[in-house]
This record gives sequence, structure tokens and C-alpha cells, in this order.
Amino acid sequence: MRIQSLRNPIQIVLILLLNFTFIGGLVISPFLPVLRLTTVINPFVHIIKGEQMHLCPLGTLGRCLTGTWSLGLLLPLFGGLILVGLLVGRALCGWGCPFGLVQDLFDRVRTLWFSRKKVREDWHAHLSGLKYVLLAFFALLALAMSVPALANRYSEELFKAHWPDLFQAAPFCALCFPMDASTLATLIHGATPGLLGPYTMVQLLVLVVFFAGAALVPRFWCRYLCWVGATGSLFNRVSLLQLRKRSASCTKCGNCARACPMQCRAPMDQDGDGRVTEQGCVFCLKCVESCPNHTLSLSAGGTSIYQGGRAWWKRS
Amino acid sequence: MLVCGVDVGCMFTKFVILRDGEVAAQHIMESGVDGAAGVDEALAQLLASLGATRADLQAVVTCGLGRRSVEPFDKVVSEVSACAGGARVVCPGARTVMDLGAHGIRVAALDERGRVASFDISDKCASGTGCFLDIMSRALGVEPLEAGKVALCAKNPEHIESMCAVFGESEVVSLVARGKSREDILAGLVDAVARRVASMAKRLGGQQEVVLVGGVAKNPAVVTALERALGSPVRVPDEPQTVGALGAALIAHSLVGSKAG
Amino acid sequence: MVETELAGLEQAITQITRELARQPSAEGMSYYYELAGRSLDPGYLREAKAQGKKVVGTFCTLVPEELVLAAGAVPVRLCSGFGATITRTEGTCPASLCPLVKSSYGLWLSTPPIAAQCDVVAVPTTCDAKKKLAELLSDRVPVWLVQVPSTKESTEARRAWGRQIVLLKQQLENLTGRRIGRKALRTAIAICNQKRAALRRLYELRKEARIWGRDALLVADTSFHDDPVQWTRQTDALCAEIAQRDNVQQAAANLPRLLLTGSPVVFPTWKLPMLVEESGGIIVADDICTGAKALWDPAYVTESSLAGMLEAIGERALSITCPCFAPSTARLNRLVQLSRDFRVDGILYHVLRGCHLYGMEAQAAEDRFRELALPTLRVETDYSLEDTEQLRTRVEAFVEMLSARKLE
Repeated sequence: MRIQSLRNPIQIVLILLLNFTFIGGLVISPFLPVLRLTTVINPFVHIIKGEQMHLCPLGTLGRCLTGTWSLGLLLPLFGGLILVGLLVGRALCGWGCPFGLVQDLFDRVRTLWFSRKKVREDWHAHLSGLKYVLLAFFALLALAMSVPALANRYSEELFKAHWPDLFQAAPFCALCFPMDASTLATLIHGATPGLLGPYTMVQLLVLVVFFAGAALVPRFWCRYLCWVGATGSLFNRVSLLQLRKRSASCTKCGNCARACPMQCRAPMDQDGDGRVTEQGCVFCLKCVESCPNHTLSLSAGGTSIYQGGRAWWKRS
Repeated sequence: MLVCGVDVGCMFTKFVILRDGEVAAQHIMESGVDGAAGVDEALAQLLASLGATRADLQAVVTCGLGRRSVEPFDKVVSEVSACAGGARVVCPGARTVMDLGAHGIRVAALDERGRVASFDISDKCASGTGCFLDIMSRALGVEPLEAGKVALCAKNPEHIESMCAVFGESEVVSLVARGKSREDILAGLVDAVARRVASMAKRLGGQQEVVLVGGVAKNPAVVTALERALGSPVRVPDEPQTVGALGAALIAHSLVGSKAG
Repeated sequence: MVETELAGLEQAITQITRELARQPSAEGMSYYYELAGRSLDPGYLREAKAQGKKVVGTFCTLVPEELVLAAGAVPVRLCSGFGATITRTEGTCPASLCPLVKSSYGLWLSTPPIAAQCDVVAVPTTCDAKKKLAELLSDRVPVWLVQVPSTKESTEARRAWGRQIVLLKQQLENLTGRRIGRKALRTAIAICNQKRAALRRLYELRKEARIWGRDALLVADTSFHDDPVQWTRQTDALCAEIAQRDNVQQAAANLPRLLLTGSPVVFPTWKLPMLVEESGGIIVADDICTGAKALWDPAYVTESSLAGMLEAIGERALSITCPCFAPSTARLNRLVQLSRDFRVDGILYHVLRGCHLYGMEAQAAEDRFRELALPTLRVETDYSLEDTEQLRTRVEAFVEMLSARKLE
């Protein structure tokens, strides 16, 4: 059975579960700040829930540092993050992220009109580092903003006026551009135009970059910009879930390199046995599926779970 | 139980008859141009000396170049397998079997159970074969059967590289013209053969015990030269030329045994 | 073509097909014997010509068939197995040259229908001999040199191959006057993949020794001289038949199973498969160019855009495990995988005299097989039948050796 036929429905199910149900509020979900990001493209989420979700780790971090929430929450926050990372690395990007799903679907539509561009290897390597820079930037900003002096000095008056409680609780959130989804939502639903926030343009820019990138390069956002995915990437080489290669059967056919939306080269290029999970791997398993020789496999702690290489010649 | 193994080489045809697993009679004759008729006659005579006829033979296994010309036969086997089987019986512990025949060199490496593990055959040209040595010794005016003894008398063996049976003749003539002795030339030729066979054996491992079979094994100079080239002792069975036929006969014996049991 | 010459060649074919037909693996083989019988003048080429289609002659396996079909042309492989045509090449070709190239050139000089019908010949620059053959042929027929990289490992090499594919596409479009669009390419890829799937299904049955190697190799060989859809249909029918029949399986039950690899065995020089199976062995697998090598993997399309499909076709061609690529890791890996999957007892490594690519990989292959405790028999030969008895001696000795090991 094609693993992609399993993955796409699971993506939808996980997104719904994590965004619209209590499951999203469980301890491990502090890892899923996707929910913050969904408010950029799905204003409805914000409207339904009423107020912003406290699930972004940076927002939670901010609240803990300002004393709104107890510091003890930092343990499950970062513990959850680390636990998920150690278990599945960046797999949630491939199986549970709405941004990922949108890009995957967009990709399919794009092929009707034009072919994807391969990014030059050296550019790809350098740009891939950008998401870590962004992660560091936002983390440091969150830390900085928990210092009241800095927060007061650098925050927009509009925010302080608009959401005074939030600003007290988590000054960083006031700076976070997805926050203005409420503004976007009210815009769309014909509310007072005067409430247009300063970050609306930033949001629009992000949307434009997101879709333009997705139109040219598969998973552009995930590869180069997603600071959320970057936290998962950090765990990819040490997680329990791994991509493994048995080089003895590799005929360098190149299917895996072509199939990979993240432009990972290790499955094809590596000549020794063992792990081939690159930092960018989202475990979409397109490579494993494409391998005609049972060379690649998905393994959990050394045991192979999925080996692909299906007998393509069999009569369906 | 009477069985027969026939090794039909291009120069000589060898027969071995086993009675209840023991060698009862053996015979070597020139293959000649009579083909199957000559073989039938020789076999009949050999059986007669034992007081038996063709009908008494329970199995006939053939090997050698003309293995399919001896009808009827129960099985044909390759010389490699036959020589290996025969050598193993006359020299238990044989691990390398070198068969130097008239028109080919066959080397087999056996595993510890006596099965053929790998082999090499050189039969596309006559270089290094019995035929080559025969032609060369005749060119020097020496009877082929005496060539070994003559070669052992050499004081200063020539170093000879080319072993082409056709062009070698002219090379030998030119050596004689330069005043080289027959003994030295023959010794040089024998050395060349030994080097060739030894390199084949070494490529297959060359493990002890090394056994030499085939007509050329009767040449004492070849044996000495081989031991030198291999750097290890070489065993030659009492009847090296019939080892192939013996191996074939042993296979015939086991054929009957498996039919009965 | 001179009548007597043609008759001589056809006689060579008939001799082999008659021998094969004495003990066929299945009734369905008669289609292939007939097809092989017409290999100098294939029916589907005549039909194509009558329909006004262009014919593209190819050598080797690296010219992507999908492109030819998508352009509305018809491919035919010109690698010849006729020993008799070699004499024509004395003087032009060195004596030590690969017999396949000499034979192909000699055949061309005799202008049988199969050659006369070609509008163009596409020659991949796989080995030196083929490169120079292309040059020789260019005096007589338009020749396209398809530049194959010497390595698959570098990005530059793959990029260059990608550009070559685009160039080939343009050349084909100019030849037929038909643009290769997405739909045409998609259909062509599907046709070719179905052909490959049919072969894989046949090979799955070879795992159970349901068809003699001498027949299976003929089935694969003829795929290059037949309409792909027709061949696929016939091969599926053959598979259905042999899946039901036990005759070969029972006869081959305890026979040593061999993997044939090395230089191609081209019909009608069929002495090696015949010898092996006369000596009590069965060839259950192969990776030769006239066999499974070109038909093993499908074109795997990851992007359904035109460029994506061209990339898939190009990379599939490059994935063919030919020793013209250095390093040869891919080919050795394929051989090891085949020997495991087909549970072979020994390997027959065939080298055509003058073929340095396969000759130089022989030792590495043998070493790799030794690690698997599999013995290899190296056979160096050419298209002449003179060395048949010597080959028989070796093959028989090898098969006996394997049988003895198998019995333990």
C-alpha cells in the first residue's frame, strides 16, 4: 500500500485533533506552535476559540518568566519538546503540520503547470541554516521581552493599548506577528478597519513568501524558514525514529533523491550502512517508497518498521 | 560387482575395471583413429582377461575429450571431477590435483572433504602440455619417454619463456645452433611447463597435499621442476596416467551402489 | 542484401530455433521462436514503415525507448549476434575487437531489411568500440551520438545527462515532426513500464525454475525487436501458462541454479545457455544487456511535469548497471542482490574476447561472490563455434562441482 495514501489522511486527522480538540492542550503539545501559525492562514481558528491559544512554547516561556504562570510549567514545556524530538525527530512536520499539508497539496497542483526548481546544493545548504537563525532570534526575543524594562521600551503602544493584559502576561506575544490574526480575521469579516495592526503587512509578506516558495520549491517553508521545524531538526540525528540504509543493495538509481521534497541527499549519496536521516528530513517516507531494492527503511530504535520497495510489477 | 571407468583422451585411452570396489584391471592404449571400435575391442579384451564380458559390466562411466564416443555409457563426467576423485583415493589428503595430459592442463583445488572447490583448465592451446613436450623432445632427437631422464642431467638449464608448440620448434633449433646442449634445453622446457602449472595451482591456493597425475607425471624432470616451482613436495601415484579412469570407475561404483540401495 | 548471405544468416537462426523448439519450456514459446526467426526483418518494423512512422535504430540499452515512442517513432535494437557477418569487417575492425561490434558492423554492411529501414541510428557512447562503430556507421546512415557520462556519482555528470536527454528529445521531435508533449510521454512511460513489469513477472517465475534459461533469455532478447505492447501481451500469456505447468520445475528440481552475467549473449549465438542446460544446470537469473539489465527497474515518475518525466526517464536509463560506469559498485550490488533473491548456486561470468569493461570487473565480481560462498566460472569466448567443446568441458566440470556441493 502506498505510504502516501496513509500519510495524507493522517496529516488531516492530526491537524484537526491538535488544533480543534483538547488533545492539543496536552502536555506534549507545547511542541506544536503550529497552532500559532495556523492563525495566520486560518482566522477561523481564532474566532472559534475566542482567544489566542497558550500553546506556543515562546508564549508559554514568556508567561512563565513574567510570573503569569508558574515556572514549574517550563518542565513539561521543554520536557515535552525534548521528548517528542527524541522520539520522532521532525516527523510531525511530515505527518501533522497544516503548513506541511498545504505545501504538499500545493505541490500536486503546481505540477499541472510547471516543474519544480531544484535549489543549488550550496544555496540549499546555506539557506537551510536560516531557520535556526530565526529560531534563535525568536527565542532570544522572547527572553528579552520578559525583562520589563526592555518590553516597555520596545513594544508598540498600539499593542499595549490593544491587549494590555496580554502585554502584562507575555510581552513577546504582543510582538509576535501571528497575533494580529485577529486583525486579519476582523478584516475578512468586515470589522472596523481602524484596528489594522502594524504586523498585518508582515503577515501578508509571510503569506506571500510562503506561497511563492511553495509554488517553486516543494516544502520551501519547511526547508529554510520554519523555526518550529528547526527545533525538530535538532533531534533528527539522535531520535528513535530514523531512516536507515543498507548500502549493499543500493544501485544509485537516484529515485530517493528525486522523490525527496526536502532535497535530502544522504539516502542516495551515503555509501556506508546506518542512519541517513538528514536535519531536513520530515519522514514523509517518499524515499523509502521509491526505492526498488529494499535499501532504505524506516526504523524505530534499530528495528525496521517500514521498508517500501514494493513489488511494482505485481498485477494490481 | 563389475564396473568400468574409461578416460578417452586425445592421445591415450585409459581403462580401469573395479570388482567390488577394488581395482581388478587397468589398461592404456593409444586413442588412434579407430574411435569407438578400437575402444570396444580393447575393453572386450580387458574384460576377457578377467573372465568377463561387456554384459557383466553393471556401469560404465566415461570422461575425457572423447567421453561421448564410448557407447553405451551410464554417465559422462568431466576429467576434473574424475581426476579429483581418483587422486583422493590413491592419495587421501590430496588438496591440489594437477592433471597434465597430452592436450590440456587441469588443476583442481579440493576442500577438506575431497570435493572440488575450484578448478582451472588450460586447453585452448598446447603450450605446457604433454604434446608440447613430445614435439620439443622429438625436435631435439630425444625419445619422448627418455626426455625426463635426459633433462635431469642438465647442468645449466636454459630459461625459456615462449611455449608455443608450433613456434617452439624453431626456437629449439636456433638454441641448438647456438651450441646449447639437449639436456639444458630440455630442462629449460620442463621448467617452463612447471612454472605454468605451478602458477595455475598457486592461483587456486596450492594447498598440501599436492598430487600430480596424467601421462606427463611419468616424467621425473617435470616432477622435480614442479616441486621447485611450488616450493612444496609433489606426490605422484604409482599409476598416474590412469587416475582419471579410476575416478570415473569409482563414480560408476557409486552409481550401482545407489541403484541397489 | 545478397540473397545467399541472407539465407546463410537465416539458416543460423533456424538451426537454433529448431533446437530450442525440440524441448520448449511452454507452448507460448513458439511466438518467440517465430519472432527470433524474423529478426532480420521484424514484422512490426514493416508495419511501422507502411504507416509512415520513423524507425530509430539503437545500440546498447541506454537510449530511452520512452522518448522514441513518445515522438511517434519506433525503436529497434541493432546489436547483432551473427558470427558469420564478422568476416566482412576484416580490415576495418581490428581482429581483437569485441565480436558484438564487429558482427553489428558486418551486419550493417550486408544491409538486411532491419538496417535498411532505419531512418537514424542512436549510439550511446558506452564503450570505446561502440563509439567508433558510430563513426563507421555515420558514413552510411545518420547517426546520433548519445553522450553517456562515465560516472553516475557526480551532480555534474547527471546534469550533463539531463541535457543530453533534452537534446535527444529535440532531435526526435525534428525527426518525426511531432512534439513530445506530456500526454505522449506519459503514455510511452506507461507502455515501457508495463513491458518491464511483464519481464519482472517472468523472472519471478524463474525463481521457481518454471522456464529454462535458454528460453527466458530469448524472451528478453526478442523484446528489443518487437512492438512493446504486443510483446507485453504475449509475455503475460506465457507467464500465465508457465505458472500452471510443472514440466520444467520438475525437471530442474535438483539442478544447480546459475546466474549468468557479463558480456551480452546475443541471439543467435546461443551456445552458452544451450551448453549450460545440456550439461545439467539451469540459468535462473541474469543481468546481461540482452536479458534483464535494461528491463529491471521502472521509470519512477516523482513529478508529473514534462521536465519531471524527462528526469525520471533519464535517471532510469542511468540506473542501468552497466560496467561503462565507474565505479562499478551499483553493478556488484545488483549481482549480489540477484544471487540472493534467486538462490543461485554458482555464477557464470561471460566475457566476450576484447570486452575490457566486463573483463576488468570479473575479479571484483568473483571476490564479492566468494564472500557469499558462491563459485564463479569465468568463460572467455567469442561468436565462433570452434571452442564449443572446450567450453563444454569447463561448464560440465563447473556444473558437476555445484551439484556435488548441492547434494551435501
